[in-house]
Amino acid sequence: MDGSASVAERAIGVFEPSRSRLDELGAWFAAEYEPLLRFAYFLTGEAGAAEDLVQDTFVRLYRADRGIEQAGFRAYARRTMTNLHRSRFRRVVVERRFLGRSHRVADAHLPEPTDHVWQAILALPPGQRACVALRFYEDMTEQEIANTLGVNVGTVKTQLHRAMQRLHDALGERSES
Amino acid sequence: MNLENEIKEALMRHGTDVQTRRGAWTEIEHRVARSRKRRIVAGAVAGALAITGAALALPRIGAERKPAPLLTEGPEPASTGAPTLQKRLAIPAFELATGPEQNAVMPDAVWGLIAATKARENGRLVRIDPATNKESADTATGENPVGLAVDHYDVWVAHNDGCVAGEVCLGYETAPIPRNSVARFDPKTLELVSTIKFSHPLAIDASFGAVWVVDAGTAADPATRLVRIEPATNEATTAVRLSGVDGPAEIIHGEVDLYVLHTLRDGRYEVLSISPDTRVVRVLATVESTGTAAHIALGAGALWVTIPGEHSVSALMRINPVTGEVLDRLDLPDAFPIGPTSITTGYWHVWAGSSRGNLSKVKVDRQSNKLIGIVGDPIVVGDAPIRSLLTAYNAVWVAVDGTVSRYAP
Repeated sequence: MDGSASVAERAIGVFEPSRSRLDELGAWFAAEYEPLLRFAYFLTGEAGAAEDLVQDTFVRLYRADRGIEQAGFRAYARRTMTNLHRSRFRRVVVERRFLGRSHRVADAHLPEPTDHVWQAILALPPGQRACVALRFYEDMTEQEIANTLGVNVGTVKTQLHRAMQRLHDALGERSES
Repeated sequence: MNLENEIKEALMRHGTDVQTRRGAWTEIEHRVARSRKRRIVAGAVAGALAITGAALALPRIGAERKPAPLLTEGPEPASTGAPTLQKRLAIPAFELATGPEQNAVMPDAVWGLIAATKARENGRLVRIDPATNKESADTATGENPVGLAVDHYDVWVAHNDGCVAGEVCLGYETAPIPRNSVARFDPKTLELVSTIKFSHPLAIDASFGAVWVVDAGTAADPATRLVRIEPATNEATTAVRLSGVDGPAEIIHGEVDLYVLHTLRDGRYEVLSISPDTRVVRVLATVESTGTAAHIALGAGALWVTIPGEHSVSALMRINPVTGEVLDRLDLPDAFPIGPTSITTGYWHVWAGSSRGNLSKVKVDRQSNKLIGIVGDPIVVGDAPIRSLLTAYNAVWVAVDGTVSRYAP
């Protein structure tokens, strides 16, 4: 926190931003933007929503009231992104559909997914989808996923088990039909 | 090919669907700059209002410079006059809520809580179909439901034993829902999914991927606390100790923070913002109490706090939700002497209900973000205190006097 912040501002927790913090975050952005964007895409299923989610995550990271060590940045960013997605971005997607707008022209031309496995993954609830993406795309162990998402290992095991069950049921029905 | 390999291959295939693009970091810097101004420019009211209003009430959408309105904020009403009655339903709800979005799991619904009318009787949770304006389902709750929250998958009902700390407590346990608990219901079948025990729940909210409960403490540890329920596991953990007491409490959420109103030991009400991620707590306001409850609402570009019966006139405070700066105060003579009994925002207006059963429509100018004032005269909805207000499905829903009335805004 900038030491020049007034007593009143410190008392109410106003975070005085600094150029150095922005530069630091910019360096992390340069290193992590692409994998975070992919993770956001796995969470949202839409390119436009994924970009929004990454942007909002970085704004939240900038405003975080605790220092973020570089070593913990990847986990903290993914945790923040997952929580944001759960609460807000599904709402944004619904709002856009409701208001009849498209955020990117390209989105309007995205074909409906014919990849059944991908369809089934997109149909998973956010928590399960996050665990699947971290487990099968980023090759994390259950403990690493738990550390990343800030939950206990039991929660991760439950999420993965339920996700695999749903995927098995969805794809099993497809193969039977 | 086994399922795990299929999943890996699908993720690898679609990992290239989204491409990085130039200028993304620049956009983040711009958004950070707007976020900075919101926090440190407390004196530039017009600028702070514009930015705070946009950041507060509107979702952040990438490169767009003019964010779209929230689904619940909705378009401004076609009518510039008083709200008009669409339908009156004979449903004696005291609390109304709706979900964050409608999807395959969550049906279109306005949810209501109905209190038990006599001892050993359960309360009720009702689901109202906004298309037909009829009750489509209902189920028994515990004996004393006190709060209602709806997330993407479930309906959550908080119950407490209705007792005051230190006094002899009567009342009955209505199995299977414990007296001090949060019950979780399936929104389609209204089946009871699970119950989670608490000390003494006071208020409940669903947001940021969790369910949040303001819980009064125990005799051994009487401070209020904010408890987080993880829906995946039903695990309830104390997120923040609040040091309030058992008394009127509310919890709502914005795009970024939770907002809690709770009662202090000296009887005043304190309004807090709490970050769901960092758990940082900021005191935004304190309100003197004259023995009746205060209420909060978020929307139309600000945080709104009712002032119960102060200085012979009841009023509404408009507050910057980041700094706590009081931006405006609006007297509500109709709500005298005990203050508004309920408040909500929607369609860029603030809606305040009085103890007389009247509804006031308060206008905020969307372009300038200025508080205009009360639109016309308050309308008569019932003959008893308005218990709950909700804006949803292009309507203002009013719970009063044994009915739920639906008004065009």
